[in-house]
Amino acid sequence: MSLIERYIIAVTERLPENIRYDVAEELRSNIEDMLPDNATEDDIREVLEELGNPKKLAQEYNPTKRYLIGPAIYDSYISVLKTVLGIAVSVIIFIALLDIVLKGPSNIDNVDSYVELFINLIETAVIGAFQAAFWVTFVFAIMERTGINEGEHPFSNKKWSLDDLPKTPLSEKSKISRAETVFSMFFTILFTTLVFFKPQLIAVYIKRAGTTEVTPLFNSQRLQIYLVTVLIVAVIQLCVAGWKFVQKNWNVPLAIANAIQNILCSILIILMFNDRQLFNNDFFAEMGEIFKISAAEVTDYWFLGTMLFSVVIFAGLALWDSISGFLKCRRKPF
Amino acid sequence: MENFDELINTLIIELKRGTLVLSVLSQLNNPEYGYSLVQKLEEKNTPIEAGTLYPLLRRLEKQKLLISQWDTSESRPRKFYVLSDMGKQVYITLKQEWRALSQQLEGLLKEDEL
Repeated sequence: MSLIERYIIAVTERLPENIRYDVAEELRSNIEDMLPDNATEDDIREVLEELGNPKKLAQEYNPTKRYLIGPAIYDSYISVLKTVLGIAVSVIIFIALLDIVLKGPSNIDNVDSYVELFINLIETAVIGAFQAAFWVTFVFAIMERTGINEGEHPFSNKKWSLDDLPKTPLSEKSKISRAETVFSMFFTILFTTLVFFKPQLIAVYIKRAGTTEVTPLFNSQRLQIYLVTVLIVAVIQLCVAGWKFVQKNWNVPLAIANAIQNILCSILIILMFNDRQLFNNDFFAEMGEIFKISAAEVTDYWFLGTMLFSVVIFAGLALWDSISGFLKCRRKPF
Repeated sequence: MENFDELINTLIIELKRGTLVLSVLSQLNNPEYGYSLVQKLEEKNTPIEAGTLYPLLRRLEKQKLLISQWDTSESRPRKFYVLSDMGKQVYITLKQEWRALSQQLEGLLKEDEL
């Protein structure tokens, strides 16, 4: 293939399909215009060198956003990325260690299995870190493209006005607590990871005759039904948490997102905690044995407890959190 | 010294960048194709690199300042560009702006020569 054709391809392969052909034709005719009649190879080289690096030329032809995350939200991106990675890796290590401790050292008999455990731990931590990094990047790329971070009017290209100035240099009250956000991220990731990868860890552990007998709390088959929903709710929660990181102060759209997130999460928790099939009957039998009461009684107490917990405590707190989000964006400076 | 030259070069490029569109618009009252425009600007001592000009023409067309047409009547097809009606208006306005701007700047620059 001729030098010219190779050059044209090097430029146009980086362009969107719809303009590729026309740019190629135009570039070809321009290059030929620049060449003298009966051009030698040296003439061609000179002309192409004058046109320069095809990558740069292609960028000139196609001046769209060629970055995933722009300078406006880059700092927030890095800080969220660090936080989420930190949380994700510590949750993973926490769960892995829990796994080892609960299984008991009796199952680990030699150096080799320690090495294996260690390698497994590193492997899961690395995979988890990549997962976390991917989702954070994904969320920020969406923020970049929707302009959700550019003031109080997400999804609209309204110009910034003085009214958009945060009222908060004066009022500490509308500030979003970072610690709270990190805390809720930690529990979201912990809960999701546990349910996804190690539901059998949530269990009663009874030592009998040297071995530890494990009776899981959840019926793993029934749990399958919830997995996708749990993941979706977790991703939504993490998105809102990321937004809180960027926004730093409460505003109405964020309070709405926060309320939606709380409602979804409460519905999920209420559904799960009141689903009698989700819990393992053996677990109730074991508990009954421990407390010397019948399994049926344990079941009754258990579901009374989970009902109270999910409806009154969890949903109550979520409701309070949602309302306080709205209240805090109304706070005037004083 | 190398740093100094480099800095000067970047600053000069930045200065010129703002004038690119205006100089291109000024030469497109009659249809031109890419290379003819390169030559024309070079003859008038305002050279623009071919690699900058060709994409610029396309961008200006996309902004509806230029109209383009393929001419296939000659031995090889060429894409000709000419000012659109909007392009003409934009050119007139930009020209006024440029004159005002250079006058203001000249005023500033003269201050220390008195």
